Amino acid sequence: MTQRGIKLSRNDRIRQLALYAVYILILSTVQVSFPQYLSFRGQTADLMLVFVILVGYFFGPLDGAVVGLITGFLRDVLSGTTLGIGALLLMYAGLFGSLILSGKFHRRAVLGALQVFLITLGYKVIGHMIRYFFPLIMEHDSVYLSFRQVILDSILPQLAVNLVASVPLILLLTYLGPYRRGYIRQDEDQRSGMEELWRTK
Amino acid sequence: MFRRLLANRVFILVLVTLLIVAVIFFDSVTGNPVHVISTPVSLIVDPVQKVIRGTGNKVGDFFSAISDGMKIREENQKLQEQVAELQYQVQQGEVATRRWEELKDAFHIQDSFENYDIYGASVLSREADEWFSVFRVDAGTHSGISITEKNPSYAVVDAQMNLVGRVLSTDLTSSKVMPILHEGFSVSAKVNSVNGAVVNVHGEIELKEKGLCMVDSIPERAELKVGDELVTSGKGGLFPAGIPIGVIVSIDDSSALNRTATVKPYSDISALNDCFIMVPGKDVQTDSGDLTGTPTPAA
Repeated sequence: MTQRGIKLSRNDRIRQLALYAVYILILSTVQVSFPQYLSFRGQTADLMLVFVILVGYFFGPLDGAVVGLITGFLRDVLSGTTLGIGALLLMYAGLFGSLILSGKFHRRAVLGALQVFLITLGYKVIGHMIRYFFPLIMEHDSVYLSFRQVILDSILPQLAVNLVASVPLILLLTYLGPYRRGYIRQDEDQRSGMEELWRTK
Repeated sequence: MFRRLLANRVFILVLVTLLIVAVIFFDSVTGNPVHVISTPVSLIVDPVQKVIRGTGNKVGDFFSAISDGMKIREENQKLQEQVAELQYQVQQGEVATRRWEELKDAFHIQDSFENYDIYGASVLSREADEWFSVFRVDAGTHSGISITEKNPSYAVVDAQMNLVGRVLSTDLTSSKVMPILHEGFSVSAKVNSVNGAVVNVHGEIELKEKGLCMVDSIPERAELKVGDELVTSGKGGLFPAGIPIGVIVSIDDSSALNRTATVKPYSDISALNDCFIMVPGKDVQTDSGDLTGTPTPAA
C-alpha cells in the first residue's frame, strides 16, 4: 500500500502490515467486547468506522479502501446479519475519508476529527435512508423511528462518541504509525513539490 | 487490455463493489454456504477476542472487588439467613420431585424440553452499532450446531431458560445469535394460562433501545392485561412450547382491529455472558414457521 509514491523498505512494509493487522484486530474486538463502556445514549463509539476514516484521511485512498474492506468484513463476521454490507460500507468510508478535506488541508491531524464528523454524518444519514426505504432488505417492517428520534437518539449521540473516539486514534496513527513519522512529512514535502510543479505549468 | 483494466483503480473498485454485492445477495439465500468463509476469520479473531475480553474482565473485576468488599460483608449475613430457609425448601422440593416423577409415569406426561440437546456457549462478541446488532457465541459446527435446511435455526435461552434469541448462522467455532430485541426476530407466543391467547412477538427498532418487544396479531376476543406472562407457543416448530419470553408491560387498545402490546423480555441480553442452544433431537418435528425475517402473524 504505497499509493503515495514513496517506496517502503522491507522492514517498513512489515511494520505497516503488522500494525494495521494489530489495530484492526484490537479495535474491532474492543468495540464488540465492551460496548457498555463505549456508549452514550444508546450509541456505541464506532471504533472501526473512525479508524477506517482516519486511515483514509492520513494515508490515502488505497490504504483507506483496503483497510475499510478488511475491517468491514470483520465487522460482518463479528456482528452482522448479512455478510458483505459492513465490508462495502467501510470500504467506501475509507475511500471518502481520503477524498474529502485531505487534499485541501494537507491531512492535518487536528482536522481528522472534522473528517470523522463528516463521514460519520454521511454514514448515519445513508444508513437511516436505506433502512427507511428498503425495509424488506434490511429485515424490519415499515414502522420506523421518527425524524426527532433519528436526530436525537441516533445521529447526534453517534457523532459525539465518534468524535471522542477519534482523539486517541488520531494520536495513535500520528505518533505510532502504521508508517514511521517521517513518512507523512516526506510525503507532504514531495506533494508540495508536485503542487509547485503543477502551478508552474 | 486486461492488464490495463487491472491497472485502472476505478475498474478495480467497481469490480470489488460488484463482488461484494454478489456476496450480499448470495448470503441472503437460506442455507447458503457463504458463512463458511467466516471460519478462518473466527479462528484468528476468537483467541484474540478471548484474551482481550479476559483482560478487560480481570481489570473490571479488580476494581469491582475493592468497591464490592463492604457490600459483600453485609450481603453475607443476609445470605446465611436465606440458606437456612432454602435448605428447608430444598427438602420440600425433593419430595415434590419424587411425586412429579410418579405422576409423570402414571399420566405419560412428557417434559417440554426432554427431546432437546442443550449446548452451553459463552458470548464472544456483542453488537458493533445499532445496525450490526447480532452477537456471537463460541459454539459452532464443531460443537454440533449446524444450520441445515431441516434445521434452519435453533432456539437460544439463558441460564434461567428464558428466551434469548435464535441462531442465525454458524461456522466451525462460532455461531451468530439474533437476539429477541432485534427487528428481524419473530416468535409465536401464548399467554401462560390455560387456553391463553396465541400472539406474535417480534423485535421493533423503536422499542429496541428501551429493551422491549412488540406483541401483535392479538386475537379479537383475547383478554390481555399488563403483567401477563408470555411463553413460546411451540407453533412453528423452531421454539419448543413453554420457554418463558417476558411480561406484558403495556397494551394499546386504540384500534380494535389492530391491538398491540409491548413485552419486557426476562432475559437481560446486555448482561448475558453465557447462553444455551437448544438442538432438537431426532424425535422432534421442526419446520421454519418462526423464522420469518419480517414480523408476520403468529406462525
